[in-house]
Amino acid sequence: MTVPSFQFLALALAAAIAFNLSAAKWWRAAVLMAVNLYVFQSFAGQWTQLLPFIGFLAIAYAGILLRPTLPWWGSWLLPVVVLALFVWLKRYLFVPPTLLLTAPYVTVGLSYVFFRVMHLAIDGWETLPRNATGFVSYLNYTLNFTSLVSGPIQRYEDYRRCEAAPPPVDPFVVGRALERIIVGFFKVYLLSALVSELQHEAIAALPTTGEATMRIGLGAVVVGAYPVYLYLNFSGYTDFVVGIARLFRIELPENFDRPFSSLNFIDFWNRWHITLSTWLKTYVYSPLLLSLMRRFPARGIEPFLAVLVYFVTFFLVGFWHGQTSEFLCFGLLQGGGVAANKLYQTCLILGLGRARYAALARRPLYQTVARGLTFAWFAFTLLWFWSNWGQLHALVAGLGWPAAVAAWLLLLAMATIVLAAWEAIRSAVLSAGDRGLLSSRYLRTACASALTFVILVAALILNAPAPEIVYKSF
Amino acid sequence: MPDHSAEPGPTDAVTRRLPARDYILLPLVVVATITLLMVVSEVAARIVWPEQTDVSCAIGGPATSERFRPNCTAETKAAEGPWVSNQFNECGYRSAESCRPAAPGQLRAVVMGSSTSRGALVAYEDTFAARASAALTRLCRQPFDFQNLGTDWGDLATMDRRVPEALALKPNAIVITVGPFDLSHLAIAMEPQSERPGFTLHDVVGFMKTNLRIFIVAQHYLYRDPAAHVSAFLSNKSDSSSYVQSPLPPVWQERAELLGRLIGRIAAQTRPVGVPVLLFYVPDRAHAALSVPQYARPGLDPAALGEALRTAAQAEGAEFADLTPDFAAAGDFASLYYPADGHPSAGGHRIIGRRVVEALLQDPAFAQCRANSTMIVGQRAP
Repeated sequence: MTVPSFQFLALALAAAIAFNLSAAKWWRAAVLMAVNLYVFQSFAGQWTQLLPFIGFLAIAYAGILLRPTLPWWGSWLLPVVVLALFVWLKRYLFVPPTLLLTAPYVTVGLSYVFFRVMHLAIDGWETLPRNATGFVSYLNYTLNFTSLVSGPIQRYEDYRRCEAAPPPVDPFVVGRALERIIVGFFKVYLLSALVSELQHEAIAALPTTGEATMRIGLGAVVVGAYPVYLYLNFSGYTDFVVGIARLFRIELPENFDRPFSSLNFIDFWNRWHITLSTWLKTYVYSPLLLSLMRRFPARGIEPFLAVLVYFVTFFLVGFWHGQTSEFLCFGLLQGGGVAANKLYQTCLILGLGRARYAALARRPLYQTVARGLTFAWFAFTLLWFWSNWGQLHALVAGLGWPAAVAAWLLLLAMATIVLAAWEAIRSAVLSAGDRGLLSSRYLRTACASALTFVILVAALILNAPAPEIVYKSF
Repeated sequence: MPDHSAEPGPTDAVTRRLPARDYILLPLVVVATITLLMVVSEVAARIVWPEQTDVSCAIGGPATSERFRPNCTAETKAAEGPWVSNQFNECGYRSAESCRPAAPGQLRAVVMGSSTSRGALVAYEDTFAARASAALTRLCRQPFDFQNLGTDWGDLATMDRRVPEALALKPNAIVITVGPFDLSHLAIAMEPQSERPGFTLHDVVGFMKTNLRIFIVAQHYLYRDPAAHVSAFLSNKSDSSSYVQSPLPPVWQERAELLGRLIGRIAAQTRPVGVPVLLFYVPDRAHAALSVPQYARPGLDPAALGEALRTAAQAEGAEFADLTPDFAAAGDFASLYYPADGHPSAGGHRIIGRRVVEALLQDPAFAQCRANSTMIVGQRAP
C-alpha cells in the first residue's frame, strides 16, 4: 500500500471512525491491531515473505520479556542481538552472502521498527507491561501503520501515554488533523513532484547548454532543488501520518521544525529528521561522550571530545541511509559538517569568549549568511545521497570544475537571499498580521478546501499514485 | 472580527464544542471555496489560454463528411499553442498552391486523413506537408506541391469515397497519416454498435479533461514530465491505451484490420492508375515516450500496434512507416506535441515531414529526386 495515497487515506479514515466508536481500551487496541496488520501484510505478495520480519519482532519481544531476569551482560546482549538481526535482514554489504536469506522478504519499514525495538531493548522495556496487554501494545507500537513506512520514530513511553490516557478527539482536533493531512498530501503529491521535475529538466538541459552562465545556473538548480524536494517529500509524508495518527488518539513526534531556517549545521540536525537525530543523540552521542569524558577527564579537552562524538553520531546518521560507498561519503560529510561546526564554535568561544561569540552570532548579517551556508552545505552533501559516482562524474564533467564551483557559490548566494527574504516575510506576516484572522478556522477551512481542489484536479489528470517517499527505501 | 484563535490546545483534556453555527458555516465555506476557485480559475484560464479548435471554414461537422469552404481563411489555436491561420485554396484544401490540374512535369502528392494530416493547430509552413513540399521541390528541382485533403477524425471511415476527387488532382502519390485516436474512432464509425458502454465516471473525467480549460492548463504542466504522462496513460482503464500491451489486444488487432480494409478500398482505386499509397502511423506522446528506455515499462510492447498496422497495410499493397521510433529518437517530447491536446506540434510535424520525404524518395517515380537527397527537411517552408 502506498503512503500517502487516497486508498490509504480511505482505509485510515474508515478505521479511525471505527476506532472512536467506543472508548473501551480493548476495542481501540483491536481496531488498531487490525489496521496495523492489514497494512503490514499489504507489502507482501505472499504471507511467507513476512516471516523474517515477524521473526525479528518475536525474538526481540522474547528478549524484552527476559530482560529483567538477565544478569548485567543482558543489558548488552539484547541490543547486540537486535542489531545483528537488523544488519542481517537488511543485507548489509559486510554480511557474508552465504548467511543471507535467498527468498524475497518484506523489509518495508524495518529500519524504523528497528529503532523502536532497539529503544525497547535498551531502556524502554521497563515501561512495557508483561502480560497480554503488553504484547498487544508491543505489536501496535512497533507495527503502528501510521509510522511503519518511514517513521517518525516514537518513544514507547510517549506511545504508552497515548494508550493509557488517550488525548481527546473533538471537532477542533479533527479539523486540525484533516488540515495537516491535506497539506501533507499537497506537499508530496504536487509540490515535491514539481520540484523534482524542475531538477530533472535542469539535469537534462545541462549537456546541451553551451553558455557558461546558463550552465552555472542549471548547476545551481540541480544541486539546490533536491533538498527542497526531499523536504517537501518527507515533511509532507510526516504531516500526512501525524494527522492520521491524531485521529487514532496518537500524538506522533514531529520530524521537522523549519530546517532551512537553521543558523548552523548542528542546529539543522536539531530541525531535520528530528526523531532520527534525537534517537542517535540519546543512544550514541550521550553515552559515548559520557564514556570518553570518564576516560579522559581533563576539562580542557571536553569540547574537542564533543567534536569527535558529534562526528561519530552524525556519520552514523548519514551512513544509516545506505550501505554503498556514496552513503559512506554522505555520512562522512554529515559527520564532518557537524564536527567542523562544533570545532568552529569551540574555537570562537575560546578565542572571543562566550559573550562576544554570542553577540557575533546574533548579528543579522552573520545569521543571514550562516543560514545560506547551512542550506548550501546540506545541498552539497546530498549529491552523494541522490546520485551515484557515475552520475556525479557526469554532472561535474558536464559543468566543468570551475563552473561546478561557481554553481555552488551561486547556490550559496541565492540561498542566502531567498531564505533571508523568506524569514523577513514570515516574521512580518506573523508580527504585523492579524493572528486571529490567520488562525481563523474559516480561513483555514477555505485554504484546506482550495488545496483539496488542486489535489483532486491533479489526481484526476495524473491518475497515478503519489511519488514514492524517499525515506521508504531506508 | 471575532478572534477564533482563542481555541483550547489540542491536548486539553476537555472535549471542546464547536459552535452550532459552524456545522452549517464550515461546509458552506468548503463548497463556496471550491466553487469560487473553479469559476475564477476557469475564467482566468480561458482569458490567458484562449482556444479555438473548430475551423470556421468547415462545412458539416465531425460526425458528417467535413469539407472546407474554398478560398476561406480561419484562425485556430490550441490552448497551449499560438494562433494559427488556416487558409484553404479554391478547392477547399489546406494548401498554399492552387488545386488546378498539375502542369506537365509538375510533381504532386495528395494528403488524406484526419486532423494530423491537415496540420491542425500548426502554422501552414510548419505542417509536414508544407515542409515536405518545400524539401521535395528543392530535391526534385521542379515544383512539388501537396494538396491537403485532410479533414477530421469523423471522415476517416469514408475516406475511400474521396479517392476519385484525390485522383482527379493527378497526384504522384497519396499520403495518409493515422494515430491511435483515429483508429479508435474509425472502429466506432464503422461498427457503432461495438462501443457504447454507457455513461461512466470515466466519461465525466474525460469531459472535464477536454472541455474545462483549467484541466487543459493543468494537463499541459503536469504532463511536461513524460514519466507523469506515461503513468497517467497506463493507468487509464479503458482500451484507449491498451495498444501498448503485449500481445496486442484483440480490439486493437481488429482496429488494425479495419484500417487495412479501408486502405484496401483506397488502394483498389489508386492501383489501376499507378498511384502509390503511403501510410504513416503517428504515435501519441505517451506511446512515443514508452519507446524510450528511460520511460519504458517491462511487459509492454510499444511496437506491437505498428507491426499490426504494417501487416494490414502491406497486405493491401500500401507502403507503411511507423514513426514511433522517430519520435522516440527525437527525445524532446515537450517540443513535439501539445501535451494536453495531444496533436503533434511544429516539432512533431518536422519529424513526420522528414519521413514523408524519405518514403517518397524510395518510390521509383521520384528516382531523379533521390539523387539530390542530401538536402535536409528540417527547414521551414518559405
